[in-house]
Amino acid sequence: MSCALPHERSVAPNTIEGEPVNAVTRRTVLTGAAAATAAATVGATLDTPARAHSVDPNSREDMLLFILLSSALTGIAPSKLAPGFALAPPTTNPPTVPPPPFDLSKSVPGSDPVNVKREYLTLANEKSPSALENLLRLVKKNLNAPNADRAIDADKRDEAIIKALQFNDDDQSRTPADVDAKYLARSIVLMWYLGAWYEPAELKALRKDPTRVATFQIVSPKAYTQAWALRVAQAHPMGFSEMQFGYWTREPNETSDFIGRRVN
Amino acid sequence: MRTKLSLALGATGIFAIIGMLGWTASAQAPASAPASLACDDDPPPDTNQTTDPPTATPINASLLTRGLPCAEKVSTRGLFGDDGLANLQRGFDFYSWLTFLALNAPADGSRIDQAKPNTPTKWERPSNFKQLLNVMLEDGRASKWEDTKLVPPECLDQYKKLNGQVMVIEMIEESFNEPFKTGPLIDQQGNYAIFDILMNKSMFDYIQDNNLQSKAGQQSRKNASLKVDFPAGANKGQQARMTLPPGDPGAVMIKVAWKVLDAPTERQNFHTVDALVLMPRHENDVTKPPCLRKTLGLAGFHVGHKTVNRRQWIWTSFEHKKNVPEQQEVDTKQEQGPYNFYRVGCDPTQCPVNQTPPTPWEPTYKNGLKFHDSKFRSQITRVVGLTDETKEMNKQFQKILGNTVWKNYMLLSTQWPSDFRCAGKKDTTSTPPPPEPATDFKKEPDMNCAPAPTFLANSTLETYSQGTDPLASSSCMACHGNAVSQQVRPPDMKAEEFFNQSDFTFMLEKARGKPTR
Amino acid sequence: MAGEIDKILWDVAIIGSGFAGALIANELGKGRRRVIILEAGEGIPPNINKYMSRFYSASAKVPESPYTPEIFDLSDPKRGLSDPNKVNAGRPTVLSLGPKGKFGDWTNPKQAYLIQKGPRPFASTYDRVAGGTSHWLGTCLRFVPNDFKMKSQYGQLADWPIEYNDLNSWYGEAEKELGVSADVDEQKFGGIEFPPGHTYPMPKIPNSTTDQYVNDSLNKDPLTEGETGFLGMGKPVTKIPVRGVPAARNSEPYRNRRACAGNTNCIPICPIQAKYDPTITLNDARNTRFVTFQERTVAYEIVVGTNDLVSEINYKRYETETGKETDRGSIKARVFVIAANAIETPRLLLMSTNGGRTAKGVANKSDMVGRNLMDHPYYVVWGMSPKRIYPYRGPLITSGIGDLCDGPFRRERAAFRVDIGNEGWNFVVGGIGGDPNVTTLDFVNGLNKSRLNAPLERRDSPLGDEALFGKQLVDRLHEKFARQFRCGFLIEQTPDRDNRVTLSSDHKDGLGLPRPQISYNLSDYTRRGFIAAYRMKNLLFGKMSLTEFTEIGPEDPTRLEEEVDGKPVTLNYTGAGHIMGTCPMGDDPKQSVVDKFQRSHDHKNLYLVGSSTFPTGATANPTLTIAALSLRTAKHILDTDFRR
Repeated sequence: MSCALPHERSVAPNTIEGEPVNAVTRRTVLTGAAAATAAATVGATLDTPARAHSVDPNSREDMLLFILLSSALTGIAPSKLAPGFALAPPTTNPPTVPPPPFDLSKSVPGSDPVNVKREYLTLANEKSPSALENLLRLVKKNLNAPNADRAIDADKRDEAIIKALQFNDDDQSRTPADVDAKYLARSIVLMWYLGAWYEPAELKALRKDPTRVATFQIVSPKAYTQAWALRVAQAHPMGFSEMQFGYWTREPNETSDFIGRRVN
Repeated sequence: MRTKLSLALGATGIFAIIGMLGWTASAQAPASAPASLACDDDPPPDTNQTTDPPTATPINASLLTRGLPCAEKVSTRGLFGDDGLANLQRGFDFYSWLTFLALNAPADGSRIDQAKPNTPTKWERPSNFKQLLNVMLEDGRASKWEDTKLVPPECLDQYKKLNGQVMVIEMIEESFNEPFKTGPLIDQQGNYAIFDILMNKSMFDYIQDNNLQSKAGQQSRKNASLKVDFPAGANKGQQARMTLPPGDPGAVMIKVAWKVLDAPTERQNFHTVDALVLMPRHENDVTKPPCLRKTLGLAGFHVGHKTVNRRQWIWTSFEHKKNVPEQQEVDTKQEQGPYNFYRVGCDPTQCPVNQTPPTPWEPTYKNGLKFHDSKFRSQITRVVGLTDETKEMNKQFQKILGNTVWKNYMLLSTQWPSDFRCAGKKDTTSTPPPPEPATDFKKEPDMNCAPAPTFLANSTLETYSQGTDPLASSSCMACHGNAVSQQVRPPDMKAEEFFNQSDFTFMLEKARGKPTR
Repeated sequence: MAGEIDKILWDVAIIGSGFAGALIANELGKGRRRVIILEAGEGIPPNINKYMSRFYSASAKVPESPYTPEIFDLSDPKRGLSDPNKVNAGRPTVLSLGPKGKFGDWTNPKQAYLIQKGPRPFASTYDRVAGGTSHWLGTCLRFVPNDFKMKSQYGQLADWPIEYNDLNSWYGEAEKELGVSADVDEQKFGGIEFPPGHTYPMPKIPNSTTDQYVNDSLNKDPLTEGETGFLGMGKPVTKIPVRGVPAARNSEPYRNRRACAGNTNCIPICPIQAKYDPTITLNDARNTRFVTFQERTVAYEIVVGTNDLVSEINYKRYETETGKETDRGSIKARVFVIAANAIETPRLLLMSTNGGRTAKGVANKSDMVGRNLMDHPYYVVWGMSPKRIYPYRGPLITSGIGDLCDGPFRRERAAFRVDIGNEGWNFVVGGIGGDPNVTTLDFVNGLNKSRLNAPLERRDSPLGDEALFGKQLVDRLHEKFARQFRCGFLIEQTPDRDNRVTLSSDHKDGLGLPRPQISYNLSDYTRRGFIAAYRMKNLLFGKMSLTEFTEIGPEDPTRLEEEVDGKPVTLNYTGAGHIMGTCPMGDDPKQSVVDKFQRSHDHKNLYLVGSSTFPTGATANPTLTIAALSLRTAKHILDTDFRR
């Protein structure tokens, strides 16, 4: 059986060139301004073998981007999705102006004993590598948004990421790669919320024919127990309570204890 | 509330204070001093934090006499870069070894690396640890720490002949049947493994002070508003150091698994005790249970220690290194027998792996501690193997134990709450107010604060619930977190205000005596 | 191994290891009788690891999901349901109650274990491991005194040959054995009495925040005659108490089991075994030294010898769920107990024709075996609360309304009890169940199966209005889940001769044995109970200011079309898992199958136990009554001399 202690080891970060952040169109936001040809490649054919699997679950940077992506998409604080997560350098008080850019090589994805983030990144990479790559690129693009006050960076970043993924399927300005990324984003949200994998293609098909019965697979028993859907409701996944006798007769603790922020 | 006077016991108190300076009390105290086991409030951490990167603390003979850590000394900085979890884990494993060495050090003050197999250890001394049934007495009465050990009448004659130089184990169901009645463990000689539970003075005092040693006491009206919260150990400089007398490690509990060693040849590889084992009484039976004189060998060793920064306790587990092979070793045919609870080369159809013995499970007087089916042997493997890091640390500690039997013991792992900022709400409404720092009794949403590692099982103590299936498979904290007491909510008390959690120990449910309801 | 058990003349042979089988075996073992238990399903594993991992990994977390046999055909890439034709000890599942022509078609013998002839589907299921009821909720309600005398009190249904007082002390014994938690004063309603000074083994389980809202809403102001007159209670009803439900669920340490930690998973399995299940007693039974247990052993013929006594029971064995039969044998005993549930017990009796000597089946001179099949048809409703009530916390059910289960109205219509669900819309959302997945998927992917992703006036719109990410998604899901409410009504079913279990002549199981064939309908009396339940729902939902979302698909076979106050309403029923009635007890051998000690009228050494013997079903969950009767019957067996 596996080791008693599943955890990540720190590895030397990949060096990925920072991309110049210019005025961007929706297209470039998703496919990366720096590599127009690469963008065309990805846009033209999905799952291009030459660029498949270039996301590495062992890579610190990819994991950091995945956590930031997941947090933006799920609305749950990164420190809850990935305990121990910390972007470097941390915000100072008083804040430095202009704020220094985040340095992914010094940031910490966090290590926690359950480590479901690794299962999710690995699975997403297996199932939709190019779409995943596009999503991570999207995060990176928005990581050091210009003229942003560090204190609200996270919100701006999250908003930008979400905005890039909200469009109609029949929107002509979007490529198939964009659409794939959009549905993979939904699959990723569902993984975190339900511990289950819904194929992006299935989600797309459901939009066309909502009377279909949605099919999904539980990622693993562990993933099921880490599902967030009921935690956002101040409860717990059915069949996995980490609370003590009698808790249900009291009102639950505030949402910030569950998901890291208050709910409106 | 515990009184602060309990350690001011004259001469022994002075030695306890000396103990605070980094030497175990018994190193100074005369052999017969009834001091409770004092702790070291400045234990060595597993790495030297002053260098960058940190370097490993040398594992050498100087660690053998450091004593019981009052609390863990761990850091997210360590040998594994910025993998905070791995660094903390190593710190806890190091702390576990110091704990093991301190508890098993010879009671007479001599060195553990010179101990003989049957040299009595510190934890075996009643002045340091009491057995559960000596605290939860049959009639539920209160007792004092200094009270002499209770010896069941059936064992009295033999006990007197041995001048009391013998361990007495009074068996109940839990002495042979693993938790939640999952089944007994039968060794390769056809004997039952025997289990016992002990607590230190801090736990004992809390129980007596709060009248928890009986059913009636727990069910009393006064205790309806008690929120059970055992005292926690702390190091120098940690808050709450002041509320504990010097040398007091806070609550420490032990669970052991013994192997019956009938053959003298077996006795060279184990730490052994001379014991009188009283077989379990039968409710409706007037037959006197036999009291058997046995040599027992230490096969499994759990320690639970509550500290101020780990209010969900720290869970340490050791076992004899020849108990069972890892499942992985079996799959690749790399077993290195002989083992205590596994037979190499036996086909799974003949020896089904990790299966409970055939019923009935209860030992019979006529068979003594031999299983009724004389051919049956438990065939046990370790489902979740040790990590490489743990194996490496084990090797180093085993080296400094010289040629004693103690080199035959290994740490499985340490389970500890990794999200220690969770369960951090202070209770401001109880009367009397809880001790500083206050414990979060609501403990939502995670009473266990993310145990690391998620699962942990000892092959002798959680034999049949090994695995990695959430909640079903053994995890010290997930299981102990469910422990509740026998407290009762009076009708005029609101349900929301009633807390019966027993602070991660199942001991309170074993209180006896006549219930009030 | 195989065959060894055949060589012994057992004192008692028991078929089935559920509540009845395990409890009786344990009592007999304690009484030093040699007992053999034959269980058709798998044996009991040393831990529940596999059950839990199967459950956690299941997409459809139905009551059968942790247990064997496999619900889905693992060799089928499309993962269809296992073909019951091939399964050796099969059983019905909740997934085979689907509409005609769709997945899990209830009339399709290739998907449904029971051959259902209708006109309505029998909607309850059972398992075949540990007797098939490990997935129970844990509710341990006593019947009320009038439940036992419906005929003499109300001129309806039938009387039992025993009364509440005959069972009073046995209920207490059963409560001790199972470990029931309740407050004795709170349970004194409907005429229920306890011996003086009686207490339950454990204090009651605290109620949930959902329960508190129900009680506060319902009983804030005194209820008026206009509001409650429809109940027909015979006296003004100004208050309808919400009481704790007694349950075999630990509220403190009891018999080496942990107290409940609110895993909200009682059905199908408690991860920490805080809920009692029969494997506990089965284990105790086997540890008495007198009880032997053999799994994967399917009894298929009861052999009747001289003097109308049962002489032996023939069985088949198998190794794998769908593999070939591996062995046959025959058990001889002095006394035989069939404890195989109210479908499998009559099935076995009917299969045993003894070459024509018992052409109608064993124990069936009355022709009643298999008749009077009853359930508690369960009318389930759900809605959204105006404020957060925090469901999905605590045991699945902690409180209910039982006070309405008896009264003069029983002359006219069936009684009902109310279950208050703590699990939100988990098994009802969209009429198909599956929350939190369904609602989460709705708001992530812009669908609307839950009907929550569109305003009320467009609630049936198939696509949803919102597809969200981030904080908006959190806020939306939070306020939806935290306000979900569902409750259910258990309605008394009439014992009806034509609701029956017979043998299918066309369809067999993996061992070549004929599968059970079911005819089932709901009587007018019961349907009038539904209508009363509907009115109660209106009262409750009105008081709680709930927005109702109950729905049932147009082709769903469990639709119930009724008329209330001249207007058509659509109701629904599911199965409560309470299978009863097919071997009714009574004093008259022409009208009943067993006597008041569950002993067959026709064969003096044959006992038929469990809820098969209930002449009527009342409204309380049957388990505690099964347990009480079992302990009483066990004593009868111990006290009776069976030597020829």
